[in-house]
Amino acid sequence: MIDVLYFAWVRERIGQGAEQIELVEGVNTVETLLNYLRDKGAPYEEALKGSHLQVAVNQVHADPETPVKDQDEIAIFPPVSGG
Amino acid sequence: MIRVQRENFSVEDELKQATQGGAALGGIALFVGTVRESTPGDGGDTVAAIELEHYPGMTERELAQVEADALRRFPVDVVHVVHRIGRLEVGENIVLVITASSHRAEAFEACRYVIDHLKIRATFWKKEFLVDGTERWVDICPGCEAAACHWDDLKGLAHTHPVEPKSHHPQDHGKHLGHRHHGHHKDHGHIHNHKTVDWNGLRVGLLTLSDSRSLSQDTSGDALAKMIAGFGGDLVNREILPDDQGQIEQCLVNWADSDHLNLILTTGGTGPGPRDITPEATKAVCDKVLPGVAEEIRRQGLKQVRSAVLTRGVAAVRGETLVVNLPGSRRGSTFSLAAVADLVPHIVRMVKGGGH
Repeated sequence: MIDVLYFAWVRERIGQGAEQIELVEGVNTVETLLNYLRDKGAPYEEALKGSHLQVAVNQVHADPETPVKDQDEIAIFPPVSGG
Repeated sequence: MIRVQRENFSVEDELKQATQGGAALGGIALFVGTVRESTPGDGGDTVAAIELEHYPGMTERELAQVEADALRRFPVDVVHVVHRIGRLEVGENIVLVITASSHRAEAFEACRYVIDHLKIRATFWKKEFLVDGTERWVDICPGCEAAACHWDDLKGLAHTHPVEPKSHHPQDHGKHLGHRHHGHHKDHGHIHNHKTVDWNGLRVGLLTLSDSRSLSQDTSGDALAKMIAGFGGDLVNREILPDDQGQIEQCLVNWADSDHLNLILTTGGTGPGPRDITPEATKAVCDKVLPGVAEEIRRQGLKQVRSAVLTRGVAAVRGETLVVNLPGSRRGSTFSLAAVADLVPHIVRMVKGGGH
């Protein structure tokens, strides 16, 4: 299982701030996880189709190629806008 | 010291707390960000309040990292950051940055560094509540693009590049994601580099010139190697040599003619000192000089430090290899590379006989 967290408008569009997801075969990077989620259809497809999402793995900014493994904490969010 | 809190802060109290016992502090710089009534470029809609959301845990980690980077990078004694979350009305404080040093220039620079990096790295999100009753998430960051260009360590940062959705065409499945530094998002006005730097497939050599340093102390080289990797380039050769014209020339010739590198970056030996000989060695083995590239490096460098006029670095071509001289300091070399990195693939294509 991995913990997936959503923030800001991603959270609003998904309809929840966090959930646990069972990792399936072939889902082992940020990119493959996002594609897996998008393929689940509503509400993920719509919420995650934005072109400027950012992802953190275990609270560190990540790339599409960053590995994802069991027990990880993955956060998906729009560009940050603090300050 | 970093703190994330709902409550307001008193600038005066924070100032006292940040600088207590700091009798040696000669200069204190302070930045306060507040909730403004309208955001430039949004059509002038009037904001009544904002709600700040954050990622507990990661936010603190990112702020601590920015604080540590600032303390390492600048000779400052104090870095103090307070950032608020929750609902804030127009005019209320959002963020406070205090930096202190024995001199004002360092205090100002460090203060700017912290707020610029905070805005790009720290996991806060703003929702605006407009006076007409509508609400919207803020996804533009006025000034962030300029900030990303100002600081060498924000250029090519992977996380400033968005994770793109997969293509809708099956044959293109996921292709775009392979190119980490291939930004296509000039349009949405956030923080991405306005220059697209993609060195995929480029064979690069990195030559450090120093009479005193060894490879293990080559911090400029380390920083440049990181940038090369970040751009997607392939660092094939790395060497450190003394400021000896014969050895430098031999190395450039070997890397160009035997190893067929597309690009050789040198760092060091570009100043007016008696031992500085890198530009002479470069010109001696190259066929064509590209004065504009070196001038662009100096032009951008001048925005940072006046001493940038003292670098005599050249950019020149030997056969199908581009050689670019960068200054020796970590800051000078990385900033110089960032100033022309986007031009490199174009030049490489042209020296091979390709067109624009």
